[in-house]
Amino acid sequence: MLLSIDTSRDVCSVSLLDGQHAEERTSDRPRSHAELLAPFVADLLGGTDTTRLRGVVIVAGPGSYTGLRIGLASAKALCLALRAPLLAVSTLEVMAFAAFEGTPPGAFPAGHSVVVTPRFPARKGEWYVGAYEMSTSLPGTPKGIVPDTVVGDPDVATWITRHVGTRAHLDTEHEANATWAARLVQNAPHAYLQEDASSFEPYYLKEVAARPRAGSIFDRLPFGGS
Amino acid sequence: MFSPNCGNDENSCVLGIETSCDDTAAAVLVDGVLRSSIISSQSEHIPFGGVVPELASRAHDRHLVPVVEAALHEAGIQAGDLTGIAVTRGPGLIGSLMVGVSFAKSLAAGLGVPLVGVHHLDGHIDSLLLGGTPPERPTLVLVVSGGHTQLMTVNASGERQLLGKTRDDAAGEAFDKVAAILGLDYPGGPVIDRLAMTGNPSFHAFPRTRLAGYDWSFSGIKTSMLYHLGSMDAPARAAYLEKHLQDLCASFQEAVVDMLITPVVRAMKQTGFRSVGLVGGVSANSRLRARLGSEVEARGGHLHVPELSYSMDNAAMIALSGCLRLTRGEQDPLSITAQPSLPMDLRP
Repeated sequence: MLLSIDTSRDVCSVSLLDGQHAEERTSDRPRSHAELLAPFVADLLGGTDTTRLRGVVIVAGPGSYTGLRIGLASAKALCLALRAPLLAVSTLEVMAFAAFEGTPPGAFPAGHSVVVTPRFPARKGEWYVGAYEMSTSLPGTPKGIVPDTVVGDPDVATWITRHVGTRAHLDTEHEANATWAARLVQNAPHAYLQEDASSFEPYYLKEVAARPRAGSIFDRLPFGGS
Repeated sequence: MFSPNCGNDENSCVLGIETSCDDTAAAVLVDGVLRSSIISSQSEHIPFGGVVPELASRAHDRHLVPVVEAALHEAGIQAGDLTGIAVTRGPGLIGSLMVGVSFAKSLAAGLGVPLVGVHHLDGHIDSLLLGGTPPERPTLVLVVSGGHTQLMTVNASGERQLLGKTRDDAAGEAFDKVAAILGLDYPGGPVIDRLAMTGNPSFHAFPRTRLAGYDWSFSGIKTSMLYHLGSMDAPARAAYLEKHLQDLCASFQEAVVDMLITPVVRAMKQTGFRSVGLVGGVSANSRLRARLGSEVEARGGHLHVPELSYSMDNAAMIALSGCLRLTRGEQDPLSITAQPSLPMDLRP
C-alpha cells in the first residue's frame, strides 16, 4: 500500500493505492493545497491499517515552489509519523507515464519505443520539459532520455525535435495526479527511494534569483558622493 | 525548567515547531517540562544583507526534519510518543510559515493527535514562563525583534491586549538597516551593541520620533543616519567613520533605546503595572536591558528577561503556548493555514 501526494501544479490530490485499488481525494480549487492536503490525508488514513504502508510517494517537481514545499513538508512528516520510506518522483515523469498509459491500445506500432515529451509552463515565458522513452511491448517505467529541464518558449519545439529524433512521439501538457504517481512508483519502488529523506529537496530546476549586496549604499543614492 | 501548574495531570508530550522567519526550531515538552529546544539559524542570508524569503523557505524544508529529530532524540522520545503538535501559524514570512504548518498538520494527521496553531507573539509572551521565576501578573510585555515591536498587557488570567506597535520598521530592522549603511555585517544588532560599548552616546543627537499613545516609528532614524553620512563625499565619509564609528553606533543605539523605553514608562504610569517583560531577539541588546531595567526599578517594578535561547525565535515558547492551549481543551482543525499578518486580537 502506498500513500501518494501531488501538489506540484493546480490540482491538490492525495491517493491511497492498495494493489490496483485507489482511493483518491482531489481538489482543483486554486491555492487550496495548504488548506486541504492534511484533511485529505487524515480522511484517507482513517480506518486504514497503516502498518501495511510501504511508502509515501511525493511528486517532487518541477512545479510551483510553494506547492512543492507544501507537499514535501507533509510527506516528510508522514514518513516520520508512519515510519515509512520517502519515494520521490518527477512531475514530468508522472505526466509521461499517465499520458502514455492513457492512449488507446494500438495507438502506436507494437514492438517500438515512443518518446513522450511532457511539459508545462514555468514562469517568465519558460517551460518545464522532459523526454521519456516508453516501450509499447514492456509495461512499466518511463526511461528518462535527458534530465528534466527548463527551456525558453522560442526554443521548446527545437528541444523536443532534438530528443525525439525519428521515433514515435507523444507530446503532453496534461496534468497528472497522485494516483498516477502511485501507480508508476508501485512498478519499481526501489528506483524512487530516497535514502536521505529528511534533507531531501524538491526538484526546483531553478536557482533562487537573488544577488548578494554589492558596493556601498551611498553609491545608489542621488546625493551619493564618490 | 518550566513546570506549569495548569492542571494537566495526564501524560502529555508536545512538540513545538517554529519556522516564521529564518530560524528553524523544534522543542519537546514532556508533562509540561521542557526536555529539548533545538534552533538552527540559517546562515544562507548573510551575503544578502537580509532574509531572502525563497532561500528561507528552501532552508526550512531542508532543515526541519533533522531539527525535529534532534529535538525528539534529546527529549528521549519517539514521534509515536507525541500527544500533541504546536506550530507557529503567524505572523511571519508566508513561505517559511507554510513549511512548518504543512509539516505539523500532516504529522498530527499521521499520528492521530491534536494540532494547535500558535500566534508567534503569544509564544514570545509565554517565553517569560520558561525558566526562572515567572513574572507577576498583570504584566507589561515589550516584544522587540527584527520583525516585531509591540507593547502588550497580560492580565491575571493570561489574556493579552495590544497597547502599541511600530507603524513602520521593527526596532531590530532599524539596527540591520543602519548596520548596512555603516558597512557592518548582517545581522546588525550584535555588531552595533559591541561597537557602541566604546562609543559616546551623546556624540550625535539623532532625532527621537515620539508618537502619542504607545506606538513607535523607526524609519526616520535610519534616514537620519543616511543623510548625516550622505552629506560627505566618499573619502571624507571613510575618514569620519574611521574615527567615529563607535560614537555613531552608541548615539544611534541610545536614540533607539530612548524611543523603546518611553511608551513602556508611560504604560507603567497609566496602568499601575509594575511587572515588565522584555522578549524578542533585541532583548539581547545590553544597553536596552540596562536602561529599561533601571527605569522599571526606579518605579518600584521588576524587569523579567528570559535567557536569550528562549527570547530569540525558538520553539520552546511555541510548545509551551500550544501545551497551555491543549490543556484548556482547545485544538485547531487540520484545515488551518499559515497567516503572515495574523493580528494580535485574533487568537489562532
